[in-house]
Amino acid sequence: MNNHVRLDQEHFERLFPFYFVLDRGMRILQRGKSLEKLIGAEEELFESRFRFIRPGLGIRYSFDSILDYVKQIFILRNIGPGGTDFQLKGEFLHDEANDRIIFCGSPWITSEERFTSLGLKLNDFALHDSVADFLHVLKAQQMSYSDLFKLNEQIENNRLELAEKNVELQDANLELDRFVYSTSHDLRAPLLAINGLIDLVVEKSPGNSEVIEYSRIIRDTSNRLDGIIREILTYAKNRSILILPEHIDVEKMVHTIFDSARYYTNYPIELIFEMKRNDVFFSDYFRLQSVLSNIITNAIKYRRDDGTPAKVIFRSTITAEKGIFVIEDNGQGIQKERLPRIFEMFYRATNSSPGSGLGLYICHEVVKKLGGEIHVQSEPGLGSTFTVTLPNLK
Amino acid sequence: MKYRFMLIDDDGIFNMLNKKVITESGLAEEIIVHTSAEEALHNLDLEITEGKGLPHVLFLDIRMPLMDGFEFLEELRKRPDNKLKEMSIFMLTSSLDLNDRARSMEYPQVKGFCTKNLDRAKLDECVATVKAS
Repeated sequence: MNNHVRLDQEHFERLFPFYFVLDRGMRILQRGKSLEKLIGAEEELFESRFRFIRPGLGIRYSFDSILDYVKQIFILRNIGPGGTDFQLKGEFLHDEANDRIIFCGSPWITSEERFTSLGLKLNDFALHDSVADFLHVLKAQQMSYSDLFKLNEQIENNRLELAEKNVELQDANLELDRFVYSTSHDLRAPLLAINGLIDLVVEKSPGNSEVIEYSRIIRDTSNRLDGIIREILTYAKNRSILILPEHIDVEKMVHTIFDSARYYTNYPIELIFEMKRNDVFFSDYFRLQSVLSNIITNAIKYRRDDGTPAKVIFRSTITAEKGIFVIEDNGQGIQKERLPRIFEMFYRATNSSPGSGLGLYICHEVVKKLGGEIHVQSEPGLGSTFTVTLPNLK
Repeated sequence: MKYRFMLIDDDGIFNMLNKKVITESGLAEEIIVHTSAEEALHNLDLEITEGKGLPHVLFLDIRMPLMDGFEFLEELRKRPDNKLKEMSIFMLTSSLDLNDRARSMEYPQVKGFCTKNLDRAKLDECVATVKAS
């Protein structure tokens, strides 16, 4: 018996319920339970029971002739007693060990009527079709499970990789903030030394108006550089230092900012301060100060060049939830098309006064950090109004 | 009254500028300048053993190579000699860092935190603090 047909009766019963076994004398010795339903259990000659429909030519009703056609599809028609008209479709296998031929097949059913007319039930048919189907389905499912598993694994790996990258990025960011902070500090020291030396030069050159004038320009330039370094410091600090809410005397803060601006200004400026308050205001001192200082200083710096005294109106409203600070000036204003970009890094809306293009960008960053909002309205030639809304961190 | 000053800053330009401001104020009996904190410490130790007069007012930079201002303050705190504790120390730095300020003021011996450059007004304020204590 070949490997692929080493099966016992029980297997044939289950796999090919319509099987039958022929000996050299072409007698049907055994038959499957389902075939028994159709042709009975009587031992009989193959020739008197079945006719070859396929193969049609060349085949003879002999053992050896069938062997010549092994592995071909046969269609057999029932011609035996009982009169039921049915056909079987299948293959013959040679059981070499017992020198028998086994027909493995099942009724050739082409319609439901043919099926029911035979009086057969579904469980009369071989399981192997549905078993195979089931196995196929199972296998497909396993494959999709294994695909899903692999996909999940991949996603998990990607997630871990991302988390790792994220930590690396945060570290790099922190490192960069520290670097910026430290560098800006280191930049300030030599700048202050230069300032001290310039003052010395001025002091030692009484009456030399040229030296005094050039020294003043050097001092201005150096102050500008110091301003930029301070801005970068503020930027780095805002990013790296925790928010520390404390009680803030807004009026005092605004007046201090204004007084210090007045110190550096050689033209008349005016401040109007208004406050509506039904609660104390808590925020981060350094951050609030840098925002208000920036806006107030801008209001003074970008004044109209027609000699109108610079006027800043500061209105604040404090509630338990938030502080709203409206800073209105009577300065140059900002052109409409430039307005949407003024909070961008390094964007400068005017050439009229030297600036780093960082001030309002930092304001925006700081306000964002504090969980607030900053908005601007402006009328070119009339003035600008900045509105800063910050949560009360009480 | 005139005071003995000590300046500790690794940057010679600041030492020169600060020395000039102090000299011109007429407040100084003596001005000792050191460009390293270690050197200053060594000098203070010597003055203790030799029984010489210690400075009344010490201006100390924070960011210096090798030993920085805070390390200097730590070293000074370790010294048992009470005379050393009588000196008034003022931080004189380009740092705008509020943390630096807060950290400095934790030392009882530190009487003030000045930002560079030192000018007559800042000097007078420092001396007034020394006088009051």
